[in-house]
Amino acid sequence: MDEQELKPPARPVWVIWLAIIAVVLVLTAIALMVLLPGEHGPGRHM
Amino acid sequence: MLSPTARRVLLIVHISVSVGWMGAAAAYVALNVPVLTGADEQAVRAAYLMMPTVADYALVPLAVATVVTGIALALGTKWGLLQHYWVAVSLGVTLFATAILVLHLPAVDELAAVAADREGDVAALGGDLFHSVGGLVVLSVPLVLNVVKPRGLTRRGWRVQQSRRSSSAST
Repeated sequence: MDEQELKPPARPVWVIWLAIIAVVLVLTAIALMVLLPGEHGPGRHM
Repeated sequence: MLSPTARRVLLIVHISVSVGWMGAAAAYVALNVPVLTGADEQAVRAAYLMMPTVADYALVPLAVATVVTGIALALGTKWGLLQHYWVAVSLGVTLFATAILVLHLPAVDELAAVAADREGDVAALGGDLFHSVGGLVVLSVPLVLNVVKPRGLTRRGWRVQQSRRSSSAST
């Protein structure tokens, strides 16, 4: 068994990109809730 | 581990309910068309009144069935639940979509209540396109991951693989 097999694998690039996109989308949704007021728009959650 | 027949049956059920969930979400998007195209008031009211029906009797049951069959399939096959990133991410995204769906149900009921009231101003409601289109976009992530199955072991998956290797080497 070589040294490479003893180390846990690195996180794949696609997982990192997916996480970045998810964070951006969640922050955008939160910003919409805060910035757009109203009874029926995203601001109704606030 | 599931037998090959049980695995196939569960896979067929899982694909049916998860694609059905996306179909129901598409039907929910369609209910927003009369609202957005400025159709006559009767059509708009009817569309709003149908939203809780589609949500309660199609979206929610299909979402729950997707989660349950997905977990059973992962646990009953070589993939495991948290051993491969594509399975773990699919599970996380599906649970997130189900949670948002359930949390959004009271708002859908409110829209229908306004539409059911003859005095209710349906023109001021603005539809419910954001959640339905957003849901379809979010559900496309596990769809793509389940088809492509991109490589990548989680730490847990790596540990399981290492212990399998060491046990097979010792026998």
